[in-house]
Amino acid sequence: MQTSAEKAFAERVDTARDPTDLIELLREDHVDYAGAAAAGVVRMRGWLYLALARFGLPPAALPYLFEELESGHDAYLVAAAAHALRTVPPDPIHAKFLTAALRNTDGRDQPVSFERFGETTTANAPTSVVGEILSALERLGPMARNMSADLAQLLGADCLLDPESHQRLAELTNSLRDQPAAFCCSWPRGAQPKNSSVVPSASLAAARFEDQDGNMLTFSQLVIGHPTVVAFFYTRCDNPLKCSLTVAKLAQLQRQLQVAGVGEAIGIVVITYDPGYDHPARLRAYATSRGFCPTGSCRVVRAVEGFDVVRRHFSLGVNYAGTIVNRHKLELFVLDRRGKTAAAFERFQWDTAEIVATAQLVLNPPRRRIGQWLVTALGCAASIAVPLFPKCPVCWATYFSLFGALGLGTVPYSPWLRTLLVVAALCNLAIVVWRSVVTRWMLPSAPVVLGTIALLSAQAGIEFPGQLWAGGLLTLVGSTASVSVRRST
Amino acid sequence: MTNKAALAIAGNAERKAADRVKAIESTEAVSYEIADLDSLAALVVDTKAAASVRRAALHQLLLAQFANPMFSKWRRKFISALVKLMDDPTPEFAEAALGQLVKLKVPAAQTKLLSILRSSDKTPISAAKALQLLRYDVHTDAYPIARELADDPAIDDRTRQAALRLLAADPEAADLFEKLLKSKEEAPEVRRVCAAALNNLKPKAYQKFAQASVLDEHENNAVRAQSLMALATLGDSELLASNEQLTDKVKELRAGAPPAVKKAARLYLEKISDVV
Repeated sequence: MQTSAEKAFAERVDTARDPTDLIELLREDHVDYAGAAAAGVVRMRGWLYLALARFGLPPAALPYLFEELESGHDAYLVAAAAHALRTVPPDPIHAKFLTAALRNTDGRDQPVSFERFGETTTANAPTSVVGEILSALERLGPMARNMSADLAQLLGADCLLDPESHQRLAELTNSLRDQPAAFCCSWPRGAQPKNSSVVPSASLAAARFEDQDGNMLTFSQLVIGHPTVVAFFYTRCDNPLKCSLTVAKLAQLQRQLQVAGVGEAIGIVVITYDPGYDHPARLRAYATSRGFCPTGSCRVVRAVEGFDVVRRHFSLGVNYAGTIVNRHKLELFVLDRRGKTAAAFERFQWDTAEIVATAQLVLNPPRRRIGQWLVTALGCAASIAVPLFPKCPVCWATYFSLFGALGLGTVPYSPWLRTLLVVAALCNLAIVVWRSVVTRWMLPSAPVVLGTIALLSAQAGIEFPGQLWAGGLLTLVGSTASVSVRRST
Repeated sequence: MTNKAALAIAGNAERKAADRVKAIESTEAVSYEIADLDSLAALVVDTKAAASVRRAALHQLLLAQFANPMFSKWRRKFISALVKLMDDPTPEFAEAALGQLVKLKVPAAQTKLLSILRSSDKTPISAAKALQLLRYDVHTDAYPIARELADDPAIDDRTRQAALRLLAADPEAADLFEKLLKSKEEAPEVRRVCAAALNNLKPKAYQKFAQASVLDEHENNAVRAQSLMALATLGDSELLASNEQLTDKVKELRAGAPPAVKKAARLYLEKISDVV
C-alpha cells in the first residue's frame, strides 16, 4: 500500500529536472527511505531507477544498478535495473552483472510492470525480470562475448527459463560463439567504487556491544590491538545473496586465515544491523549454522548501546522501518590494529582471497627497504656531482684554491669520472620513471626529467644562469618524492 | 486417459462438474506440459466454472509446483494467474492466491492484504486471515496496524491473536507483550501467545516472568504450565537449581496440580536434578 511519503517521493522523482538531483536518492541511508516498509522501498527505488533511465543514466548511478543485478532479489528492482542499463552506452562489464542477475533468477521469473508508480506486478504485465535481463544482454551484442560460457551453462539448465526466453538466450549464445573476446572488465569512467580511510572517533567509546555469549565489550576491546575484518548483517535478512551469504563467506574467510597461519592475529567481528531482535543466542545460532565459529577474536555482536554512533562511523548503507531493516548494501571493512579503516569492500560481492590478502597486508605492512633509500641517495648524489665536476682549468684552479684553503691538498684529475656521473644521473632518471609506473604516481618523474635535462644540457654547452643548481634541486626533490610512495598493491 | 484428453473433458463447460473434477483428478501433475498448465490456469480463474472444478484445478497446479520439472518455466504465467485470482469474489480462491503470492514475495499481494486490514478493500477475506498471511514476510508494513489491533480489547479474539502472532517478530512490541502477559484480565490464550512472543523477543524478560508466574498462587494453570515448560526447556539449569523457593514450589505442584502443570513440573525437576 502506498503511503503519502511514497507518493511525495514519486512526485519528487517525476518532477526532477536533472539526474544529478536524483543521485543522492540512491543512497540506502537517505532520509526518504527512513520509516518506509521494505516493499515501499522497493517501489520507490524501482521508480527512481526508471526515472534515471529516462534522463540517461549518470555514471555515478551504475554501481547501484550493478549491485542490484549482482545481489538483488526483488524482482521489480532487478528488472528496473536491467531496464535502466539499456540507456547507457554498452560496455562489456554490463554482461558480467546481467549474467549474474540471470543466474540469480534461477527459475523465479516474475511479471513486472513499469507503467505506473506502485504498480509493480499486474495480471497482464507487459514484461518480466528475465525478459528485461535478456533485452539488456541482447543490446550488448558482441560485448557480452566474455560471458558466453556462463550464458551457455545457464542455457543448459533446462528448468530455468520459459520457452520464449529459452529461445532468446539460445539465439544470443549462438550469436556470441564466433565473436572475438571483448576487453573486460574495467569500470566505466566515473563509476569506480571509492575507498575511504576512517579513524575511530571518540564518540565510538559510547557504543557497547554484546557478543554471542552475552559478554559485554567496547569497540576498542573488539578491534584494537590486531587487524580486524568488520562486516554487517542481520538474521532476518530474507535475501540469500546478502547476509546469509556474507556470514557463510566469513566462515570461509575464517578457515582461510587459519590455513594462512594468521587466524589468531586477525580478528573477525560481525555486527548485526538489528540489535533489538538479534539477541546473543540468535546470533550464535545464525553464525554457527553457516560455519562461522565465534571464538577468540572472532565474534558476532550486537550494539546494545550506541548503534547510531557505529552507523555514523562506518557510514552504513542501511535504513529502517521502525526497528526492522528495510534496505541495506553489502559492506565489509578491514581495520588496522588502531581501528582505522584500511580498506572497505562495499556494495559488491567480495572474494575471500582478496580479504585474506588485504588483512595480511594490514598485519604485515611492507617495510621501506634500506636499499631503496640507498639507490635514491646515490642517484641524487650523482646528479648533483655532475654540475660540480670541474670541467676547465679555471674550475680546477678554484677547487685547488678551496682545497688548499681547507688544507685538503690536491685532488687527482680523473676525466672518466665525469662519464660515470652522467651514466649514474641517467640511471637515477630511469629508476624514478620505473617507480612512477609501478606506483601509478607520475608526478615525481616530471622534476627529475626536467632536472636531468638541465644538468646534461649544461654538459653539452647549453647554459643559462642558475641552471645547474635548479637541475640539482629538481632531481633531488623528484627522487625523494619518488621513494616516499609505496609500490601499489 | 492422457493428461490432454482428461483436461479436454475438464475444460468442457457443458459436462457435469463432477465429471470435470474427476477428469482433473485423473491427471498426473508430474508429467504436465506447458499447454496443460495453461489449461488448468484457465480453469482456476474462470469465475463461471463450479467452485469444485476450480478447486480441483488449483490443487493440481499447487501439486505441479513441487512435482513438475517444467513448472519453473511456466512460473511467470502462474504468478499472472494468481494476481488475477487474488481479486476473486470467492474468499477461498482469493485467500489461496494471496497465500501463494505473499510467499513468492510478489509486492502486489502485500499491498492487497494491507488494504484489507485498513478496510479499504472489499475482498471478502477476514482481517485475521490477512494478518496470518502477512506473517510470511517479516519485512511487512503491517506492524503499526497490528499493534493497534493487538492493543484494542474490543477487537475479536481471533483477529487480536493473529495480530499478536504477527508482532512476535517486532522488537517494538516487546513492552506490549509484557504488559498483556502480566494482565490476568486477558484471556489465557492471548497471554500464551504473548508468552511465546516475549520469549522470542526478550528471552531474559520472559524467563523472569516465568519464574514469577510459577510462584504466583493465583496464576492461570495453562499459563503456569507454559511457564514451567519454558523454564524446563530453555532455562539455565544452574541458575534455576539455586532458586530453592522455586524448586519447593515446583515440587508442590508436582504433587497436586492439574495434569498439564504436573507434567511440566516433572520435566522441570528432571532438568535441575542433574545440577542438584
